[in-house]
Amino acid sequence: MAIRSSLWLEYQIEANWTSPVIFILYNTLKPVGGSLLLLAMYYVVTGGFLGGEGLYFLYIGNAFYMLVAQTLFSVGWIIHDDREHYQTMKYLYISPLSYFTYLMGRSAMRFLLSLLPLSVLIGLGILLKIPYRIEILLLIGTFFLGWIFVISAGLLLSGVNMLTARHGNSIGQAFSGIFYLFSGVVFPIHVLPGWASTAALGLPSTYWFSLVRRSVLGKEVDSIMSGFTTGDVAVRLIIISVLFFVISYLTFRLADYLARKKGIIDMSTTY
Amino acid sequence: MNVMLNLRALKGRAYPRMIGAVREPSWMFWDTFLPILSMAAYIYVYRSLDAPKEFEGFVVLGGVMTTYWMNVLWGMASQLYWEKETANLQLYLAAPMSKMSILAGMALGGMFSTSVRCISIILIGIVIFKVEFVVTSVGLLLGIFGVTLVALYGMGMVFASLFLMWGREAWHLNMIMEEPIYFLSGYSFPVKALGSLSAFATVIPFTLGLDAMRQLTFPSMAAQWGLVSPHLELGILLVMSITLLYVARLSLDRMERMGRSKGTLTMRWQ
Amino acid sequence: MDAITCEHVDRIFESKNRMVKALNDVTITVKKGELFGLLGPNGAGKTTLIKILTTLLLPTSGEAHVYGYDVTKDETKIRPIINMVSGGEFSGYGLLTVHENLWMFSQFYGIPGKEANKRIETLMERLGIVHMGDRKIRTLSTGERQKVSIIRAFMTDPRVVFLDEPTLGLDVETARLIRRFIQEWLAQDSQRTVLLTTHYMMEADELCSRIAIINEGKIVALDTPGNLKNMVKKEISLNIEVFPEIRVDWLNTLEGVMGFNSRDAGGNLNLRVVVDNDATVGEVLAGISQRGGKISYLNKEEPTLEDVFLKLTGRGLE
Repeated sequence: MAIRSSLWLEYQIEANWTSPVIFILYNTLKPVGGSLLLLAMYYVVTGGFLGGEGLYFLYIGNAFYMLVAQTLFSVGWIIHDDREHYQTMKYLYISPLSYFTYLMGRSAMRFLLSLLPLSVLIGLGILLKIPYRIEILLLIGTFFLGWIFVISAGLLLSGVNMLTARHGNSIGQAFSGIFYLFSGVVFPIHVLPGWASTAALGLPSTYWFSLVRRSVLGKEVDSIMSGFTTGDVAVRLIIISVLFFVISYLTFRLADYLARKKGIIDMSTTY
Repeated sequence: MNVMLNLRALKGRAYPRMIGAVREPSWMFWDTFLPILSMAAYIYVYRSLDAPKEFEGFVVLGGVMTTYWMNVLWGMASQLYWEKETANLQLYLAAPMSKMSILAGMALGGMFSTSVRCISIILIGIVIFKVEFVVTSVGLLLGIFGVTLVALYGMGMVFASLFLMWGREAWHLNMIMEEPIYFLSGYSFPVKALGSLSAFATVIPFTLGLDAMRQLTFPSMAAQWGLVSPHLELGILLVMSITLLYVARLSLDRMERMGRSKGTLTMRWQ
Repeated sequence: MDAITCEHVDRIFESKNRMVKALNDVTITVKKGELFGLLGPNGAGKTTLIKILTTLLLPTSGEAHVYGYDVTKDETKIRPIINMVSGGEFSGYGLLTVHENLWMFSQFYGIPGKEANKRIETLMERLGIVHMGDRKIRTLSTGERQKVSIIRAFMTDPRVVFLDEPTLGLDVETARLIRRFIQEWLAQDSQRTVLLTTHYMMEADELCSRIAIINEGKIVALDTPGNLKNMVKKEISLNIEVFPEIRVDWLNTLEGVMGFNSRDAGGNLNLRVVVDNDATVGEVLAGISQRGGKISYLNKEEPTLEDVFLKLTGRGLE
């Protein structure tokens, strides 16, 4: 019941400001803009839009990254919105619905809503002659594991937001930049300096994006990640995701405790 | 127009931004360190494609200019919506100063943190990514940079006027003015690559400013990737600046009047 | 010239599905030096009128002037001479201290820094928060925040101050302090004017030289508090405590009842009834008894503004 309420609330907050058509257009323009940016970069270097492992790599990576970026963008804003904009934080806290469940529900709906622009980007990929070899069961599993990883990241971010001031509005977007740079989203991780590619192997997102490529393109072209079998990647992703979730959950609980201890649950920090 | 009143108002509104940046230093992490990571990713994309080194410099300059764009969008234009939601807007509107001085105060106040981020981007570009800027005309470069900012903030004031009328629609408008605008303005690539679309893209002030600055700092790429001459771009930017500031003033007055008529100026949680 | 004039002001709010007439043919005049009250329940249109007079909202029709300036056209002339406080609504920035917030707002009125600091200090002292200057505004209590809002409005030395429910949600002592402050401020200069909206009758009675009673967007009466109360002098105002609690909707149809208001009082019923003749008093008491109610307290009282309101609108203020 609680989950359903928060799913519904997230949908209303994201979508009820306009008509469904504009909402779909709006939801799609941002990811398409991001993809076009990368295509233009590819074009200025290679002189073409079609063909090339590099293009497939960055296009698919970027398309699926939208799930991470858009979900974290919304989740990164929930705490500040509840606390300082709608000023509902304290009421949500004292309601029978746990704030943790509420956050889970809202991030789940955002993740679901982000599947729409992803499918548009996958469709546009056909025009770019992306050689899809979709392994449906693996893809479904990848989505599920991706959701676990993204909500863990969202939980971690929410914990930090509970203790910090509202600055810009793109905290979630900035936070997702960590995964964009260090997870082999738009370039293979071997391009990173040695210490960074080692660090990348500690992030769940690195394995997730590898699974994405394996389930959508049917192969992995990253020279480091292709050293792992699909089973290896899945097992590592599950283990690291569980670990990441536990760390995120504990951080959130600690932040929750500290926020109440310091009396800043309903603080106003605007400037 | 009462100049002293407006200067004081500008100073008054800039103050919370500056003092806020000092009191809550966590912005350094959120607004400076993290956004640089996304920019670095674009540099590695070029590296993975064995692109010429100058393209990495293009990304660095793009990172600098989009920082100001972000400040315009989130720190100024949409701020009027936030002020409305926190009950400050009605006090701003009922006060005698010009709304432009309030917006300019927000922009200038935010300039401190924005500039820290820009300097960090340039330093990271030079120190970590070994980007080599070859500045051919410092005066022209600074002139173009300055005029681009005026045009950019003028455009931000026009957007701010829309935000007086709209609620969450405006908030979402901000969102779609990130990646699509990055693409149209050539944030991470020379805008000339867009072909005839680049002419349309020049309505965004930092498209021309960025192109001119790239030509002046990476002269080896100017012939192949420069849109038009930097002097011409400066001229166009000057015209844009004056026009946008004028339009902003008209638009703010008009939107305020429409808001008063429809009752949206003080309507919260729209 | 009067401080405020409103002539036949209407304000209609339209949305997709409905139309609300928030103000309906409002005509009032407030003289300079006056503390004028606008008394009415929630949703009566008080805040809408304040928004029009403070240039935040345009009237749909009619004319309103502040110090002779038209609120529709002359907002740049009105804004330097007015200020406002809305009860329950706190402005400013949470990261700034009390003093910094006040200084910031003083700059929007072009007050030189030194002068602004002097005024802020003086007003903080008068309202008993001089020691709170360095505290961040987000750490203040409701009453303290309201005092800051009062200082913010009065430090600009306005000619006309609009106070929209200034004591809403405040404790008795703080509300009393704020009321005394308003009276003293007004007494210092005969050109100063205050328009106060409230739904606290005691407040309106105590502070205002004249009161307009507003209900559903219409001014239903306008006079001094004394004259308004005289309107119900010939009527009988009863304060009755009934136990156990009974339904009282039958009073709506009882002839001679001009208005009533009932409140739950811990299982008992506190009933205030205005009737227009002695015979009806008996019928009211008999009706209570017939419905199983026992009267534990009965008092015939001096008319109050609430009785005026009951008579004019048939309902209570709260």
